[in-house]
Amino acid sequence: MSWRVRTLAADAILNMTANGARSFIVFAAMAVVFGGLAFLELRQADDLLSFESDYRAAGGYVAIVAQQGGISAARCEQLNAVPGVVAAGGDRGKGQATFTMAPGVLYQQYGVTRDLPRVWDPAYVPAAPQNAATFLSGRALADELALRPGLLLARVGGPPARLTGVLDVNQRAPQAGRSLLEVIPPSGMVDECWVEFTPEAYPGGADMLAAAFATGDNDPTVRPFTAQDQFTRNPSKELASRPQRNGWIAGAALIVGVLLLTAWFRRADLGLYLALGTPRSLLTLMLAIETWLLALAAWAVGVLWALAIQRASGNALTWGGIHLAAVTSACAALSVVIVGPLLSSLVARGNIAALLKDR
Amino acid sequence: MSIASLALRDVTHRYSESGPAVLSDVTLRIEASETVALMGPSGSGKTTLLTILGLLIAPSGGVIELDGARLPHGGSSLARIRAERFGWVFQTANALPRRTALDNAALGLLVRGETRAGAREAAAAALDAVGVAGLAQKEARQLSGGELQRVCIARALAARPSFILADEPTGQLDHATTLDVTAALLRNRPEGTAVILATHDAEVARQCDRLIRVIDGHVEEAAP
Ligand SMILES: Nc1ncnc2c1ncn2[C@@H]1O[C@H](COP(=O)(O)OP(=O)(O)O)[C@@H](O)[C@H]1O
Ligand SMILES: [Mg+2]
Repeated sequence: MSWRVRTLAADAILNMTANGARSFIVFAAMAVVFGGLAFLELRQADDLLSFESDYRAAGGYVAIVAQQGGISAARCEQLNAVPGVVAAGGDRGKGQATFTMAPGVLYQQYGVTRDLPRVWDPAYVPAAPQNAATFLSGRALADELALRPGLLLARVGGPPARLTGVLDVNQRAPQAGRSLLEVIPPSGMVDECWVEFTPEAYPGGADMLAAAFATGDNDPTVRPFTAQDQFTRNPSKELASRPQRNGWIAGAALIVGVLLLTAWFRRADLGLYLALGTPRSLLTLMLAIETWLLALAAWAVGVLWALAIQRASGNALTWGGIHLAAVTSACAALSVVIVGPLLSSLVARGNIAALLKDR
Repeated sequence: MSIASLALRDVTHRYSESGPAVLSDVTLRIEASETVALMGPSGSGKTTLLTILGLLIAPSGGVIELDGARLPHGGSSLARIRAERFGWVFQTANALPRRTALDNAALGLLVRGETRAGAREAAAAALDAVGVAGLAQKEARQLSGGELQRVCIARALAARPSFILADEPTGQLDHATTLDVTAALLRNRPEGTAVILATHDAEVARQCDRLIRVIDGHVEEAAP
Protein backbone atom coordinates (compact mmCIF):
# COMPACT_ATOMS: atom_id res chain seq x y z
CA MET A 1 0.00 0.00 0.00
CA SER A 2 1.41 3.38 -0.95
CA TRP A 3 2.00 6.16 1.56
CA ARG A 4 -0.79 8.10 -0.02
CA VAL A 5 -3.38 5.38 0.49
CA ARG A 6 -2.19 4.88 4.06
CA THR A 7 -2.14 8.54 5.07
CA LEU A 8 -5.49 9.27 3.42
CA ALA A 9 -7.03 6.22 5.13
CA ALA A 10 -5.76 7.68 8.41
CA ASP A 11 -7.15 11.07 7.34
CA ALA A 12 -10.57 9.48 6.87
CA ILE A 13 -10.44 8.35 10.50
CA LEU A 14 -9.31 11.82 11.64
CA ASN A 15 -12.27 13.33 9.75
CA MET A 16 -14.57 10.85 11.45
CA THR A 17 -13.36 11.75 14.95
CA ALA A 18 -13.15 15.49 14.20
CA ASN A 19 -16.82 15.44 13.12
CA GLY A 20 -17.87 13.59 16.24
CA ALA A 21 -21.53 14.64 16.24
CA ARG A 22 -22.09 13.66 12.61
CA SER A 23 -20.32 10.32 13.10
CA PHE A 24 -22.35 9.66 16.22
CA ILE A 25 -25.65 10.32 14.45
CA VAL A 26 -24.72 7.88 11.69
CA PHE A 27 -23.51 5.35 14.25
CA ALA A 28 -26.71 5.71 16.30
CA ALA A 29 -28.95 5.31 13.23
CA MET A 30 -27.03 2.18 12.26
CA ALA A 31 -27.14 0.77 15.79
CA VAL A 32 -30.91 1.29 16.00
CA VAL A 33 -31.53 -0.43 12.65
CA PHE A 34 -29.08 -3.30 13.15
CA GLY A 35 -30.08 -3.76 16.78
CA GLY A 36 -33.78 -3.49 15.92
CA LEU A 37 -33.47 -6.22 13.30
CA ALA A 38 -31.58 -8.41 15.76
CA PHE A 39 -34.22 -7.77 18.41
CA LEU A 40 -37.12 -8.69 16.08
CA GLU A 41 -35.35 -11.89 15.14
CA LEU A 42 -34.65 -12.84 18.74
CA ARG A 43 -38.19 -12.14 19.87
CA GLN A 44 -39.75 -14.21 17.10
CA ALA A 45 -37.10 -16.79 16.39
CA ASP A 46 -37.03 -18.53 19.75
CA ASP A 47 -40.73 -19.24 19.57
CA LEU A 48 -40.63 -20.21 15.90
CA LEU A 49 -37.50 -22.31 16.10
CA SER A 50 -38.69 -24.35 19.07
CA PHE A 51 -42.04 -24.80 17.34
CA GLU A 52 -40.19 -25.84 14.19
CA SER A 53 -38.19 -28.45 16.05
CA ASP A 54 -41.32 -29.80 17.81
CA TYR A 55 -43.11 -29.89 14.48
CA ARG A 56 -40.25 -31.79 12.89
CA ALA A 57 -39.96 -34.23 15.81
CA ALA A 58 -43.69 -34.93 15.57
CA GLY A 59 -43.22 -36.01 11.96
CA GLY A 60 -44.44 -32.87 10.25
CA TYR A 61 -42.23 -33.56 7.26
CA VAL A 62 -42.92 -37.32 7.03
CA ALA A 63 -45.08 -38.87 4.30
CA ILE A 64 -46.25 -42.50 4.00
CA VAL A 65 -46.74 -44.33 0.71
CA ALA A 66 -48.93 -47.45 0.42
CA GLN A 67 -50.07 -49.41 -2.58
CA GLN A 68 -52.51 -52.17 -3.32
CA GLY A 69 -50.57 -55.44 -3.03
CA GLY A 70 -47.59 -53.91 -1.24
CA ILE A 71 -44.76 -51.61 -2.21
CA SER A 72 -41.29 -52.43 -3.48
CA ALA A 73 -38.81 -52.43 -0.60
CA ALA A 74 -35.90 -51.78 -2.97
CA ARG A 75 -37.56 -48.74 -4.54
CA CYS A 76 -38.36 -47.39 -1.08
CA GLU A 77 -34.74 -47.69 0.12
CA GLN A 78 -33.51 -46.09 -3.11
CA LEU A 79 -35.28 -42.89 -2.05
CA ASN A 80 -32.45 -42.32 0.45
CA ALA A 81 -30.29 -41.15 -2.47
CA VAL A 82 -32.85 -38.51 -3.56
CA PRO A 83 -31.95 -34.91 -2.62
CA GLY A 84 -34.33 -33.49 -0.03
CA VAL A 85 -35.00 -36.90 1.50
CA VAL A 86 -33.73 -37.16 5.08
CA ALA A 87 -34.43 -40.91 5.41
CA ALA A 88 -36.74 -43.50 3.86
CA GLY A 89 -37.57 -47.09 4.71
CA GLY A 90 -40.36 -49.64 4.63
CA ASP A 91 -41.96 -52.02 7.11
CA ARG A 92 -44.06 -55.13 6.97
CA GLY A 93 -45.88 -57.03 9.73
CA LYS A 94 -44.25 -60.31 10.76
CA GLY A 95 -46.89 -61.72 13.06
CA GLN A 96 -46.49 -62.17 16.77
CA ALA A 97 -43.86 -63.71 19.01
CA THR A 98 -43.55 -64.91 22.58
CA PHE A 99 -40.32 -64.67 24.51
CA THR A 100 -39.17 -67.30 27.00
CA MET A 101 -38.60 -64.63 29.64
CA ALA A 102 -42.28 -63.64 29.48
CA PRO A 103 -44.21 -66.78 28.72
CA GLY A 104 -47.73 -66.34 27.44
CA VAL A 105 -47.37 -62.65 26.47
CA LEU A 106 -47.71 -61.89 22.76
CA TYR A 107 -45.61 -59.18 21.16
CA GLN A 108 -45.90 -57.74 17.65
CA GLN A 109 -43.01 -58.25 15.19
CA TYR A 110 -42.12 -55.99 12.24
CA GLY A 111 -39.65 -56.39 9.46
CA VAL A 112 -38.04 -52.99 8.69
CA THR A 113 -35.62 -52.01 5.93
CA ARG A 114 -32.25 -50.54 6.89
CA ASP A 115 -33.22 -46.84 7.06
CA LEU A 116 -36.71 -47.04 8.55
CA PRO A 117 -35.37 -46.82 12.15
CA ARG A 118 -34.01 -43.34 11.33
CA VAL A 119 -37.50 -42.24 10.23
CA TRP A 120 -39.24 -43.66 13.27
CA ASP A 121 -36.67 -42.31 15.71
CA PRO A 122 -34.71 -39.32 14.32
CA ALA A 123 -32.33 -39.49 17.29
CA TYR A 124 -31.40 -43.10 16.53
CA VAL A 125 -27.82 -43.73 15.41
CA PRO A 126 -27.11 -47.29 14.24
CA ALA A 127 -24.54 -48.91 16.52
CA ALA A 128 -23.04 -51.18 13.87
CA PRO A 129 -23.56 -51.98 10.18
CA GLN A 130 -27.07 -53.33 10.01
CA ASN A 131 -27.25 -56.61 8.23
CA ALA A 132 -30.03 -59.14 8.29
CA ALA A 133 -30.69 -60.76 11.64
CA THR A 134 -30.19 -57.44 13.42
CA PHE A 135 -32.95 -56.78 15.93
CA LEU A 136 -34.19 -53.58 17.50
CA SER A 137 -36.72 -53.12 20.22
CA GLY A 138 -39.25 -50.40 20.89
CA ARG A 139 -38.73 -48.46 24.10
CA ALA A 140 -41.93 -49.82 25.78
CA LEU A 141 -40.94 -53.44 25.11
CA ALA A 142 -37.38 -52.78 26.33
CA ASP A 143 -38.69 -51.22 29.55
CA GLU A 144 -41.19 -54.01 30.14
CA LEU A 145 -38.65 -56.83 29.81
CA ALA A 146 -35.54 -54.86 30.97
CA LEU A 147 -33.88 -55.33 27.56
CA ARG A 148 -30.70 -53.60 26.51
CA PRO A 149 -28.47 -53.73 23.41
CA GLY A 150 -26.25 -56.80 23.26
CA LEU A 151 -28.76 -59.10 24.90
CA LEU A 152 -29.74 -62.39 23.26
CA LEU A 153 -33.54 -62.70 23.24
CA ALA A 154 -34.93 -66.23 23.14
CA ARG A 155 -38.15 -66.54 21.13
CA VAL A 156 -40.57 -69.44 21.67
CA GLY A 157 -40.56 -71.59 18.52
CA GLY A 158 -37.99 -69.47 16.67
CA PRO A 159 -34.28 -68.60 16.50
CA PRO A 160 -32.96 -66.26 19.22
CA ALA A 161 -32.69 -62.53 18.42
CA ARG A 162 -29.51 -60.47 19.18
CA LEU A 163 -30.69 -57.00 20.21
CA THR A 164 -28.55 -54.12 18.80
CA GLY A 165 -30.56 -51.09 19.77
CA VAL A 166 -33.62 -49.58 21.39
CA LEU A 167 -35.79 -47.13 19.43
CA ASP A 168 -37.83 -44.28 20.83
CA VAL A 169 -40.85 -44.49 18.54
CA ASN A 170 -43.38 -42.74 20.79
CA GLN A 171 -43.88 -39.78 18.47
CA ARG A 172 -43.75 -41.32 15.05
CA ALA A 173 -44.73 -45.01 15.38
CA PRO A 174 -46.32 -45.54 18.78
CA GLN A 175 -47.84 -48.83 17.56
CA ALA A 176 -44.29 -50.21 17.34
CA GLY A 177 -43.35 -49.36 20.94
CA ARG A 178 -44.11 -52.87 22.24
CA SER A 179 -42.59 -54.59 19.23
CA LEU A 180 -39.52 -56.41 18.08
CA LEU A 181 -38.12 -54.96 14.84
CA GLU A 182 -36.05 -57.12 12.54
CA VAL A 183 -33.90 -55.40 9.94
CA ILE A 184 -34.67 -57.06 6.60
CA PRO A 185 -32.87 -56.81 3.27
CA PRO A 186 -34.45 -54.43 0.71
CA SER A 187 -36.11 -57.10 -1.38
CA GLY A 188 -39.68 -58.15 -1.91
CA MET A 189 -42.62 -56.08 -0.77
CA VAL A 190 -43.30 -53.96 2.31
CA ASP A 191 -46.66 -52.71 3.57
CA GLU A 192 -45.70 -49.02 3.69
CA CYS A 193 -42.81 -46.80 2.72
CA TRP A 194 -42.04 -43.99 5.20
CA VAL A 195 -40.22 -40.93 3.90
CA GLU A 196 -38.93 -37.95 5.88
CA PHE A 197 -38.17 -34.82 3.86
CA THR A 198 -36.30 -31.62 4.62
CA PRO A 199 -38.75 -28.75 5.31
CA GLU A 200 -37.95 -27.25 1.89
CA ALA A 201 -38.51 -30.51 -0.01
CA TYR A 202 -41.63 -31.57 1.86
CA PRO A 203 -44.23 -29.52 -0.08
CA GLY A 204 -43.19 -31.16 -3.39
CA GLY A 205 -42.60 -34.53 -1.79
CA ALA A 206 -46.06 -36.07 -2.30
CA ASP A 207 -45.95 -35.55 -6.07
CA MET A 208 -42.44 -36.92 -6.24
CA LEU A 209 -43.49 -40.07 -4.33
CA ALA A 210 -46.62 -40.61 -6.43
CA ALA A 211 -44.46 -40.44 -9.54
CA ALA A 212 -41.75 -42.70 -8.11
CA PHE A 213 -44.15 -45.54 -7.34
CA ALA A 214 -46.67 -45.11 -10.19
CA THR A 215 -47.24 -48.31 -12.11
CA GLY A 216 -50.01 -47.16 -14.41
CA ASP A 217 -52.99 -49.24 -13.30
CA ASN A 218 -52.16 -49.39 -9.60
CA ASP A 219 -51.49 -45.90 -8.30
CA PRO A 220 -49.93 -45.48 -4.84
CA THR A 221 -51.59 -43.46 -2.11
CA VAL A 222 -49.45 -40.87 -0.39
CA ARG A 223 -50.56 -39.41 2.93
CA PRO A 224 -48.91 -37.05 5.39
CA PHE A 225 -47.92 -38.63 8.67
CA THR A 226 -49.44 -35.85 10.77
CA ALA A 227 -53.18 -35.49 10.78
CA GLN A 228 -54.58 -32.42 9.00
CA ASP A 229 -55.77 -30.87 12.22
CA GLN A 230 -52.75 -31.70 14.37
CA PHE A 231 -51.07 -28.34 13.68
CA THR A 232 -52.87 -25.12 12.88
CA ARG A 233 -49.60 -23.33 12.16
CA ASN A 234 -46.81 -24.14 9.75
CA PRO A 235 -43.36 -23.16 11.08
CA SER A 236 -41.63 -23.19 7.69
CA LYS A 237 -44.19 -20.79 6.29
CA GLU A 238 -43.96 -18.55 9.34
CA LEU A 239 -40.17 -18.51 9.23
CA ALA A 240 -40.24 -17.73 5.53
CA SER A 241 -42.80 -14.95 5.89
CA ARG A 242 -41.48 -13.17 8.99
CA PRO A 243 -41.15 -9.48 8.09
CA GLN A 244 -37.50 -9.02 9.02
CA ARG A 245 -36.46 -11.84 6.67
CA ASN A 246 -36.59 -9.32 3.83
CA GLY A 247 -37.20 -6.28 6.00
CA TRP A 248 -33.46 -5.87 6.51
CA ILE A 249 -33.35 -4.55 2.95
CA ALA A 250 -35.56 -1.64 4.00
CA GLY A 251 -33.35 -1.08 7.06
CA ALA A 252 -30.22 -1.08 4.91
CA ALA A 253 -31.83 1.31 2.42
CA LEU A 254 -32.68 3.68 5.26
CA ILE A 255 -29.07 3.76 6.45
CA VAL A 256 -27.77 4.23 2.92
CA GLY A 257 -30.15 7.19 2.72
CA VAL A 258 -28.65 8.64 5.91
CA LEU A 259 -25.16 8.13 4.47
CA LEU A 260 -26.17 9.89 1.25
CA LEU A 261 -27.59 12.78 3.22
CA THR A 262 -24.39 13.23 5.25
CA ALA A 263 -22.33 12.95 2.04
CA TRP A 264 -24.50 15.70 0.54
CA PHE A 265 -23.88 17.98 3.52
CA ARG A 266 -20.14 17.46 3.23
CA ARG A 267 -19.85 17.75 -0.56
CA ALA A 268 -17.62 20.81 -0.21
CA ASP A 269 -15.14 18.70 1.81
CA LEU A 270 -15.28 15.95 -0.80
CA GLY A 271 -14.76 18.53 -3.54
CA LEU A 272 -11.75 19.93 -1.70
CA TYR A 273 -10.08 16.51 -1.58
CA LEU A 274 -10.76 16.08 -5.30
CA ALA A 275 -9.53 19.57 -6.19
CA LEU A 276 -6.28 18.94 -4.36
CA GLY A 277 -5.75 15.83 -6.50
CA THR A 278 -7.30 12.90 -4.64
CA PRO A 279 -8.36 10.25 -7.18
CA ARG A 280 -12.06 9.44 -7.03
CA SER A 281 -11.29 5.82 -6.19
CA LEU A 282 -9.32 6.92 -3.15
CA LEU A 283 -12.11 9.27 -2.07
CA THR A 284 -14.54 6.32 -2.25
CA LEU A 285 -12.10 4.30 -0.14
CA MET A 286 -12.02 7.10 2.45
CA LEU A 287 -15.82 7.09 2.62
CA ALA A 288 -15.76 3.30 2.83
CA ILE A 289 -13.31 3.25 5.74
CA GLU A 290 -15.55 5.58 7.75
CA THR A 291 -18.62 3.51 6.91
CA TRP A 292 -16.88 0.21 7.72
CA LEU A 293 -15.74 1.34 11.13
CA LEU A 294 -19.09 2.87 12.07
CA ALA A 295 -21.07 -0.12 10.75
CA LEU A 296 -18.88 -2.66 12.51
CA ALA A 297 -19.20 -0.84 15.83
CA ALA A 298 -22.93 -0.25 15.34
CA TRP A 299 -23.53 -3.88 14.43
CA ALA A 300 -21.71 -5.16 17.51
CA VAL A 301 -23.41 -2.66 19.82
CA GLY A 302 -26.83 -3.19 18.23
CA VAL A 303 -26.73 -6.99 18.50
CA LEU A 304 -25.44 -6.88 22.08
CA TRP A 305 -28.15 -4.37 22.96
CA ALA A 306 -30.83 -6.65 21.46
CA LEU A 307 -29.45 -9.63 23.39
CA ALA A 308 -29.43 -7.59 26.59
CA ILE A 309 -33.06 -6.48 26.16
CA GLN A 310 -34.17 -10.01 25.33
CA ARG A 311 -32.34 -11.23 28.41
CA ALA A 312 -33.65 -8.46 30.66
CA SER A 313 -37.25 -9.15 29.64
CA GLY A 314 -36.86 -12.66 31.01
CA ASN A 315 -36.70 -14.54 27.71
CA ALA A 316 -34.34 -17.40 27.08
CA LEU A 317 -31.54 -16.93 24.57
CA THR A 318 -30.97 -19.83 22.20
CA TRP A 319 -28.16 -20.33 19.73
CA GLY A 320 -30.71 -20.61 16.93
CA GLY A 321 -32.15 -17.22 17.79
CA ILE A 322 -28.75 -15.57 18.22
CA HIS A 323 -27.68 -17.02 14.88
CA LEU A 324 -30.73 -15.61 13.06
CA ALA A 325 -30.33 -12.23 14.79
CA ALA A 326 -26.66 -12.01 13.86
CA VAL A 327 -27.20 -13.11 10.26
CA THR A 328 -30.14 -10.82 9.52
CA SER A 329 -28.48 -7.75 11.03
CA ALA A 330 -25.19 -8.65 9.33
CA CYS A 331 -26.98 -8.80 5.96
CA ALA A 332 -28.12 -5.23 6.55
CA ALA A 333 -24.67 -4.14 7.75
CA LEU A 334 -22.88 -5.74 4.80
CA SER A 335 -25.13 -4.15 2.21
CA VAL A 336 -24.67 -0.80 3.93
CA VAL A 337 -20.87 -1.00 3.82
CA ILE A 338 -20.87 -2.07 0.17
CA VAL A 339 -23.62 0.14 -1.28
CA GLY A 340 -23.22 3.16 1.04
CA PRO A 341 -19.74 4.35 0.03
CA LEU A 342 -20.36 3.69 -3.68
CA LEU A 343 -23.56 5.75 -3.72
CA SER A 344 -22.08 8.43 -1.44
CA SER A 345 -19.17 8.93 -3.79
CA LEU A 346 -21.68 9.70 -6.54
CA VAL A 347 -22.53 12.88 -4.62
CA ALA A 348 -19.05 14.12 -5.62
CA ARG A 349 -19.33 13.21 -9.29
CA GLY A 350 -19.09 15.70 -12.09
CA ASN A 351 -17.92 19.29 -11.80
CA ILE A 352 -15.47 19.65 -8.91
CA ALA A 353 -15.64 23.45 -9.00
CA ALA A 354 -19.41 23.34 -8.49
CA LEU A 355 -19.00 21.18 -5.36
CA LEU A 356 -16.66 23.74 -3.83
CA LYS A 357 -19.04 26.60 -4.50
CA ASP A 358 -21.87 25.30 -2.35
CA ARG A 359 -20.68 25.80 1.14
CA MET B 1 11.85 18.73 -14.93
CA SER B 2 11.94 21.11 -17.83
CA ILE B 3 10.94 24.70 -17.11
CA ALA B 4 7.25 24.70 -16.22
CA SER B 5 4.72 26.33 -18.49
CA LEU B 6 0.96 26.24 -18.79
CA ALA B 7 -0.79 27.22 -22.00
CA LEU B 8 -4.30 27.34 -23.40
CA ARG B 9 -4.87 27.32 -27.15
CA ASP B 10 -8.24 28.28 -28.64
CA VAL B 11 -10.06 27.19 -25.50
CA THR B 12 -13.83 27.52 -25.60
CA HIS B 13 -16.20 26.57 -22.82
CA ARG B 14 -19.96 26.17 -22.52
CA TYR B 15 -21.50 24.77 -19.33
CA SER B 16 -24.19 23.07 -21.41
CA GLU B 17 -24.30 22.19 -25.06
CA SER B 18 -26.96 24.72 -25.88
CA GLY B 19 -25.69 27.33 -23.41
CA PRO B 20 -23.71 30.47 -24.19
CA ALA B 21 -19.95 30.34 -24.68
CA VAL B 22 -18.55 31.40 -21.29
CA LEU B 23 -15.03 31.40 -22.80
CA SER B 24 -14.34 31.93 -26.51
CA ASP B 25 -11.06 31.12 -28.25
CA VAL B 26 -8.86 31.84 -25.25
CA THR B 27 -5.17 31.55 -25.96
CA LEU B 28 -2.63 32.39 -23.28
CA ARG B 29 0.61 31.11 -21.86
CA ILE B 30 1.96 31.26 -18.32
CA GLU B 31 5.63 30.71 -17.55
CA ALA B 32 7.32 29.55 -14.36
CA SER B 33 7.68 32.17 -11.59
CA GLU B 34 5.24 34.62 -13.21
CA THR B 35 2.55 36.36 -11.27
CA VAL B 36 -0.54 37.01 -13.35
CA ALA B 37 -3.64 38.97 -12.36
CA LEU B 38 -6.98 38.23 -14.02
CA MET B 39 -9.36 41.18 -13.90
CA GLY B 40 -12.84 41.52 -15.23
CA PRO B 41 -16.41 42.18 -14.21
CA SER B 42 -18.47 39.61 -12.39
CA GLY B 43 -19.65 36.85 -14.69
CA SER B 44 -16.94 37.54 -17.27
CA GLY B 45 -15.49 34.04 -16.90
CA LYS B 46 -12.53 34.43 -14.48
CA THR B 47 -13.52 31.50 -12.29
CA THR B 48 -14.24 29.35 -15.32
CA LEU B 49 -10.82 30.21 -16.76
CA LEU B 50 -9.07 29.33 -13.50
CA THR B 51 -10.90 26.01 -13.09
CA ILE B 52 -9.91 25.06 -16.64
CA LEU B 53 -6.29 26.10 -16.04
CA GLY B 54 -6.28 24.07 -12.81
CA LEU B 55 -7.81 20.99 -14.49
CA LEU B 56 -10.96 20.99 -12.34
CA ILE B 57 -13.18 21.02 -15.41
CA ALA B 58 -12.45 20.05 -18.99
CA PRO B 59 -13.10 22.79 -21.58
CA SER B 60 -15.62 22.02 -24.30
CA GLY B 61 -13.03 22.80 -26.94
CA GLY B 62 -9.37 23.68 -27.38
CA VAL B 63 -6.06 22.46 -26.06
CA ILE B 64 -4.31 22.65 -22.69
CA GLU B 65 -0.56 22.20 -22.67
CA LEU B 66 1.52 21.56 -19.58
CA ASP B 67 5.28 21.96 -20.05
CA GLY B 68 4.63 21.92 -23.78
CA ALA B 69 2.74 18.62 -23.77
CA ARG B 70 -0.94 18.40 -24.62
CA LEU B 71 -3.14 17.15 -21.77
CA PRO B 72 -6.09 14.80 -22.15
CA HIS B 73 -9.54 16.22 -21.32
CA GLY B 74 -10.21 13.77 -18.52
CA GLY B 75 -9.02 10.57 -16.97
CA SER B 76 -7.34 9.53 -13.77
CA SER B 77 -3.90 10.89 -14.73
CA LEU B 78 -5.30 14.40 -14.21
CA ALA B 79 -5.77 13.77 -10.48
CA ARG B 80 -2.05 13.08 -10.11
CA ILE B 81 -1.19 16.22 -12.07
CA ARG B 82 -3.57 18.25 -9.91
CA ALA B 83 -1.88 16.92 -6.79
CA GLU B 84 1.69 17.37 -7.98
CA ARG B 85 1.59 20.56 -10.02
CA PHE B 86 -1.26 22.77 -8.82
CA GLY B 87 -2.18 24.58 -5.65
CA TRP B 88 -5.50 26.33 -5.00
CA VAL B 89 -6.79 29.26 -3.01
CA PHE B 90 -10.54 29.44 -3.55
CA GLN B 91 -12.88 32.39 -3.46
CA THR B 92 -14.83 31.24 -0.42
CA ALA B 93 -12.06 29.99 1.82
CA ASN B 94 -12.31 26.25 1.50
CA ALA B 95 -10.94 24.19 4.34
CA LEU B 96 -12.05 21.21 6.39
CA PRO B 97 -13.91 23.17 9.10
CA ARG B 98 -13.31 20.83 12.04
CA ARG B 99 -9.69 19.99 11.31
CA THR B 100 -6.85 22.11 12.70
CA ALA B 101 -5.16 24.84 10.70
CA LEU B 102 -2.04 22.66 10.65
CA ASP B 103 -3.90 19.64 9.23
CA ASN B 104 -5.56 21.84 6.62
CA ALA B 105 -2.24 23.34 5.58
CA ALA B 106 -0.78 19.82 5.30
CA LEU B 107 -3.65 18.48 3.17
CA GLY B 108 -2.14 19.18 -0.27
CA LEU B 109 1.02 17.34 0.65
CA LEU B 110 -0.91 14.38 2.09
CA VAL B 111 -2.92 14.03 -1.08
CA ARG B 112 0.32 14.09 -3.04
CA GLY B 113 1.66 11.14 -1.02
CA GLU B 114 3.87 12.83 1.56
CA THR B 115 4.06 11.19 5.01
CA ARG B 116 1.98 12.88 7.69
CA ALA B 117 5.08 13.91 9.66
CA GLY B 118 6.74 15.38 6.58
CA ALA B 119 3.56 17.15 5.52
CA ARG B 120 3.04 18.67 8.98
CA GLU B 121 6.60 19.95 9.11
CA ALA B 122 6.27 21.72 5.75
CA ALA B 123 2.78 22.96 6.72
CA ALA B 124 4.07 24.44 9.99
CA ALA B 125 6.78 26.29 8.09
CA ALA B 126 4.23 27.63 5.59
CA LEU B 127 1.88 28.78 8.38
CA ASP B 128 4.83 30.59 9.92
CA ALA B 129 5.70 32.24 6.61
CA VAL B 130 2.17 33.65 6.16
CA GLY B 131 2.08 34.81 9.79
CA VAL B 132 -0.40 32.44 11.43
CA ALA B 133 1.96 29.99 13.14
CA GLY B 134 0.22 30.70 16.44
CA LEU B 135 -3.10 29.39 15.10
CA ALA B 136 -1.77 25.99 14.01
CA GLN B 137 -3.79 24.01 16.55
CA LYS B 138 -7.04 25.94 16.13
CA GLU B 139 -9.88 24.38 14.21
CA ALA B 140 -10.46 26.02 10.83
CA ARG B 141 -14.03 27.01 11.73
CA GLN B 142 -12.76 29.08 14.67
CA LEU B 143 -10.63 31.34 12.45
CA SER B 144 -11.56 34.73 11.00
CA GLY B 145 -11.90 35.08 7.22
CA GLY B 146 -8.46 36.59 6.83
CA GLU B 147 -6.83 34.00 9.08
CA LEU B 148 -8.49 31.14 7.24
CA GLN B 149 -7.47 32.52 3.85
CA ARG B 150 -3.88 32.62 5.10
CA VAL B 151 -4.17 28.98 6.13
CA CYS B 152 -5.43 28.13 2.63
CA ILE B 153 -2.50 30.07 1.16
CA ALA B 154 -0.17 28.11 3.44
CA ARG B 155 -1.76 24.89 2.13
CA ALA B 156 -0.93 25.95 -1.42
CA LEU B 157 2.59 27.17 -0.56
CA ALA B 158 3.55 24.09 1.49
CA ALA B 159 3.03 21.77 -1.46
CA ARG B 160 5.45 23.81 -3.63
CA PRO B 161 3.36 23.40 -6.79
CA SER B 162 4.34 24.77 -10.20
CA PHE B 163 1.18 26.87 -10.33
CA ILE B 164 -0.94 28.42 -7.61
CA LEU B 165 -4.43 29.43 -8.73
CA ALA B 166 -6.15 31.96 -6.52
CA ASP B 167 -9.76 32.93 -7.21
CA GLU B 168 -10.49 36.29 -5.61
CA PRO B 169 -8.69 35.18 -2.46
CA THR B 170 -9.37 38.51 -0.81
CA GLY B 171 -12.89 39.00 -2.12
CA GLN B 172 -14.39 38.67 1.36
CA LEU B 173 -11.75 40.69 3.21
CA ASP B 174 -11.40 44.36 4.10
CA HIS B 175 -8.91 46.50 2.21
CA ALA B 176 -6.02 46.44 4.69
CA THR B 177 -6.24 42.68 5.11
CA THR B 178 -6.49 42.29 1.33
CA LEU B 179 -3.06 43.76 0.75
CA ASP B 180 -1.52 41.74 3.61
CA VAL B 181 -2.97 38.47 2.39
CA THR B 182 -1.98 39.14 -1.21
CA ALA B 183 1.54 39.93 -0.11
CA ALA B 184 1.64 36.73 1.96
CA LEU B 185 0.86 34.76 -1.17
CA LEU B 186 3.08 36.57 -3.66
CA ARG B 187 6.16 37.05 -1.47
CA ASN B 188 6.28 33.58 -0.02
CA ARG B 189 5.75 31.65 -3.22
CA PRO B 190 8.49 29.09 -3.73
CA GLU B 191 11.09 29.70 -6.38
CA GLY B 192 9.71 28.79 -9.78
CA THR B 193 6.07 28.82 -8.71
CA ALA B 194 3.74 30.89 -10.85
CA VAL B 195 0.68 32.55 -9.32
CA ILE B 196 -2.50 33.25 -11.32
CA LEU B 197 -4.85 35.42 -9.32
CA ALA B 198 -8.35 36.61 -10.14
CA THR B 199 -9.21 39.89 -8.49
CA HIS B 200 -11.42 42.95 -8.61
CA ASP B 201 -8.86 45.05 -6.79
CA ALA B 202 -6.59 47.17 -9.00
CA GLU B 203 -4.10 47.55 -6.19
CA VAL B 204 -3.77 43.79 -5.92
CA ALA B 205 -3.35 43.53 -9.68
CA ARG B 206 -0.55 46.09 -9.58
CA GLN B 207 1.53 43.72 -7.43
CA CYS B 208 1.59 41.19 -10.27
CA ASP B 209 3.96 40.95 -13.25
CA ARG B 210 1.18 40.65 -15.81
CA LEU B 211 -2.43 41.70 -16.08
CA ILE B 212 -4.93 39.85 -18.23
CA ARG B 213 -8.35 41.35 -18.71
CA VAL B 214 -11.27 38.98 -19.06
CA ILE B 215 -14.28 40.49 -20.82
CA ASP B 216 -17.27 38.41 -21.88
CA GLY B 217 -15.22 35.29 -22.25
CA HIS B 218 -12.39 36.90 -24.20
CA VAL B 219 -8.95 37.62 -22.76
CA GLU B 220 -6.55 40.40 -23.61
CA GLU B 221 -3.17 41.27 -22.23
CA ALA B 222 -2.97 44.69 -20.54
CA ALA B 223 -0.34 46.76 -18.80
CA PRO B 224 -0.32 46.09 -15.02
N1 LIG C 1 -21.54 25.58 -13.06
C1 LIG C 1 -22.06 26.47 -13.93
N2 LIG C 1 -23.09 26.10 -14.70
C2 LIG C 1 -23.63 26.97 -15.59
N3 LIG C 1 -23.19 28.22 -15.76
C3 LIG C 1 -22.16 28.66 -15.02
C4 LIG C 1 -21.55 27.80 -14.06
N4 LIG C 1 -20.54 28.48 -13.47
C5 LIG C 1 -20.54 29.71 -14.04
N5 LIG C 1 -21.51 29.81 -14.95
C6 LIG C 1 -21.77 30.99 -15.80
O1 LIG C 1 -20.61 31.29 -16.53
C7 LIG C 1 -20.40 32.71 -16.60
C8 LIG C 1 -19.01 33.02 -16.04
O2 LIG C 1 -18.99 32.73 -14.67
P1 LIG C 1 -17.67 32.79 -13.82
O3 LIG C 1 -16.61 32.06 -14.53
O4 LIG C 1 -18.01 32.35 -12.45
O5 LIG C 1 -17.36 34.33 -13.84
P2 LIG C 1 -16.56 35.23 -12.81
O6 LIG C 1 -15.75 34.34 -11.95
O7 LIG C 1 -15.77 36.14 -13.67
O8 LIG C 1 -17.58 35.98 -12.03
C9 LIG C 1 -21.52 33.34 -15.81
O9 LIG C 1 -22.50 33.76 -16.71
C10 LIG C 1 -22.05 32.22 -14.95
O10 LIG C 1 -23.42 32.37 -14.73
MG1 LIG D 1 -15.69 34.09 -9.91
